[in-house]
Amino acid sequence: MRCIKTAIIQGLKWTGLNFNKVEEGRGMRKLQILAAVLFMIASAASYAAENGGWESDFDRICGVTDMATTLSVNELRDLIADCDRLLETLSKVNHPKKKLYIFRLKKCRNLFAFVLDTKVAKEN
Amino acid sequence: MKRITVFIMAAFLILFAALSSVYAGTYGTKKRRPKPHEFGNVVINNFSPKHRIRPVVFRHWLHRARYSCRICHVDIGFAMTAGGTEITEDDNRNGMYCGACHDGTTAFAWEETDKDGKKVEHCDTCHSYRKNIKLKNSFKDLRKKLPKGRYGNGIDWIKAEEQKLLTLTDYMKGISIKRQELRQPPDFEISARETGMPDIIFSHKKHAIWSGCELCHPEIFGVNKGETKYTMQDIFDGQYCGACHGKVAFPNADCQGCHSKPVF
Repeated sequence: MRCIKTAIIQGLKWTGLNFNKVEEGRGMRKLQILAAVLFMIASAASYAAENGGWESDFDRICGVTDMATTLSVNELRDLIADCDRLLETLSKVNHPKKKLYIFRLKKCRNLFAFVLDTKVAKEN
Repeated sequence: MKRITVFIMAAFLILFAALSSVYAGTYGTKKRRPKPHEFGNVVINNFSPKHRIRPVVFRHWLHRARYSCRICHVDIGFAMTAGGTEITEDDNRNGMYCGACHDGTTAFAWEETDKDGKKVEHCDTCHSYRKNIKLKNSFKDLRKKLPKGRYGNGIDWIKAEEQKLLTLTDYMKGISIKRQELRQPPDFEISARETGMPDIIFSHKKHAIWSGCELCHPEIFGVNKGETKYTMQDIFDGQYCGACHGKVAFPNADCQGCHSKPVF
């Protein structure tokens, strides 16, 4: 603990900030709170980066199933590629409803693939 | 009666019983037609015996009166075959499957607190196989309000929806995705294979209102129109139309339900 305190004081000295209050103990408490808050923010940001991004992707992809027949061949191919990417991401995510999202995403992917096949067959 | 007569009759009876059990496997056995309130009921029995609790009886009539097929079989993720989802109690308590609605807010939870502050368990309401339980919603009352059907539940569900006697929930916050407006492909005709049988008019509209697109395509209908010929036998075996018709939607005995193209 003493080492940490010294390191913080040295760090503050280096930054040129006023460290007198830190040495008094009251300032140390504030610093600890600040460090805890920073840690929480960093954790939340890392959790969001790991788990949050895929949810909006999922909504975007599976939100267009009802109009799949109106999409172009290229749009459908892009969506299928997005599904595959997201399936890979989902397999690594730690989420209580993971198996449900994988089930739903596969359904969306299969529909896009089916509509794509139908369109390609029609074009040929 | 002479002993020999009794002996011959007993021998015949034993032979008949033995042959019946052998040929039942080959030709099937005639099943009792379910009563209207039983039609569409599904017994879910994956883990109940292990936990010494009665299997779940899922009543389709009760749920389809309020929700579209899609919300449960796509958004909530229930498989299309009984026991196919392998639902666990933990899943439900984590807000999945039955727990998506049975959370004490949308529908009753497995455990609730009554007016006197006592804990009340509702396990038996769902785990009710071969148990007479009194439901809050009566089948008789529901049937009275809706147009009559000839088979199945004795309810014309399609007409009930068309006449706005049912309000089907197709979106649940936190579960469903906001979807774009449904673009329905046009209705089409399928030629009947039996001579004299009217052709089928398949209405995408009637089906998509309940099921959306991804419930049927491609798992149930992974074929492009006219590419694969399926037979009534396939349907009786639970494939294609038989994935729903005969189990939950009106049964195959109601030929005119599908073979509806006017002949004259």
